[in-house]
Amino acid sequence: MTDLAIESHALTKYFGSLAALDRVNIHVERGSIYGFLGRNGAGKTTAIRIMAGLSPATGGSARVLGFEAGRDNIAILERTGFVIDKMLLPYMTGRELLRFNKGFFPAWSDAQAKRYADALEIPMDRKFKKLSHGSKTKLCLLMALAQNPELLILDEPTSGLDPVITDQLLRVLVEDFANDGRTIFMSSHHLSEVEKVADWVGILDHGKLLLEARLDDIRARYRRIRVAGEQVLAKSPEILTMNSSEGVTEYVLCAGEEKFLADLRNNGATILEVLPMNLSEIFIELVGKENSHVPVEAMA
Amino acid sequence: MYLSKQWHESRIISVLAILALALLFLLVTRGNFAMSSTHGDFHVTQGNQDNPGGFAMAFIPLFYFEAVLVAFWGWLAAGIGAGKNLGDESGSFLFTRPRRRAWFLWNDWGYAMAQIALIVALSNIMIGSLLSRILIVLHSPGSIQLTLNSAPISLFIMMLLMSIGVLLFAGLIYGITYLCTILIQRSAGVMLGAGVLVAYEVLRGLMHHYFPFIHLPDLILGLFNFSHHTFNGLSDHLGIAIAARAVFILLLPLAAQVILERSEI
Repeated sequence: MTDLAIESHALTKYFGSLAALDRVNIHVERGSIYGFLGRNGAGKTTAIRIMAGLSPATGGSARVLGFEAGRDNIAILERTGFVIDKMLLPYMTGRELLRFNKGFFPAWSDAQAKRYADALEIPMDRKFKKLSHGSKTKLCLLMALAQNPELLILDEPTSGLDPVITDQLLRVLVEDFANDGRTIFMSSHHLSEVEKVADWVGILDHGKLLLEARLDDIRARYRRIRVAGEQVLAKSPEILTMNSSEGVTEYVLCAGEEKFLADLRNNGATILEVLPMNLSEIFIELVGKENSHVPVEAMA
Repeated sequence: MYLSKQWHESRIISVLAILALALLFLLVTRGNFAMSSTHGDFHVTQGNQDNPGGFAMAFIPLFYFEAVLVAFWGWLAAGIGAGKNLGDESGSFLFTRPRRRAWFLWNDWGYAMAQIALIVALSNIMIGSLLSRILIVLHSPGSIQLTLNSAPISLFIMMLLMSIGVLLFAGLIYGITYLCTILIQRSAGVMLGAGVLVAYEVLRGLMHHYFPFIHLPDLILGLFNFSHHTFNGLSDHLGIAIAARAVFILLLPLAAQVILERSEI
């Protein structure tokens, strides 16, 4: 059995001439919580749809729990809980949806369904179409959780939810699901939430995977460095961005802080500040810069 | 499991079908009184006063009425399957249940065809029993027999043929319309289906007018052979026509399956 819950190799998807995914290599370790980050239209949902077998890849391959997406769809769907469009059958109540869903999954747990329905305070006797946005999302998640999957793949699970419901959902995901050693792959552009729960992140932009690394590694290696003088050190593979104004140069480094600082000092630079960066800052630096790409091997 | 979804989706049109059956029952019952008072009209036979073959003429309006009614049901039913789910964005939920896409499609098709068959069977049992009573009123019990080219043909066989004709017509309408809903991935495909059917009828009319030597088949299977409003028995090669239509009707969900399996959802 492979150690990777999800693995894609040069995954490519074209819609006409538009590359929604461009040779994307994703590696999701079993038991991890992987935040799949990107702006709207970055290609996150496309990647998830390929994994679910809803959309065929134009090139490359994706393996989910060791099964090939597009070929072994049934095996993937039996073991994976997908929450994609947050739309169930609109005319059914929560209870009817549970009965409907139960028959598809041998590992389905009524007890868990009831527990999650109580914990998430979902009105199970109301038709899906009459539920609030938050309750709809919670019910979608409940359906995925009660099928007892090895892996949860969630597309923007907290999108449009208020902070209380978001907190409820994230607690259920982390405390109940991930603590059992199961894997969560969630796409989002809510960076602060991902930062709270994820241990791995992948950042996708314009169909390209710009970064994939452990969140702790990213936090440890990314630095914002302010130096007196303009373009004191202009070239280094670790420089992600560099801006100069009013006699101060600001570097964003993706690795090699010690060596870079030593080089700066050797060049006679005066180092003003060395600041750690949070995920939001790193994300903005990466997706805000054309052709940013941090080799995976640089971070691993 | 999936049956519960299908029942939820088709409840309203199933009630409509029951109401239509009740209407049919009323019409046939009223017809019963009319026939009793003018039973002489039903001896339009093939030349033999004692042969009630002309009685088959009475089937024709009933057959068309029933066929159109059941086909309308089929047209409505086509708008509530997988195509509808794709349109209301529940497709990504449905098609991430661990089943092949074909499984959902053939379940939809099987359920609709079973309902059509049930409606046809119920309505024809009702019509058949009423016609049987009329025949008893018109003739002595021993002579309740229709003849076809001098060979006896029972009321049961006539009703069975009528059932097959209605089933094939409704199946055709359902299949074409369902295919259209899959093609455009929304329940509005029923309108496209209606458009296709109308376009075919227009084309058939044009072909008949400009190229009379090319004969496009009627949407409704012609069961009987008439000349000058006289019943001359069953259509030629009826068995082949039935088999050909059945094959065509089976090809429609197969085409829908090919489209669905290649679709982006």
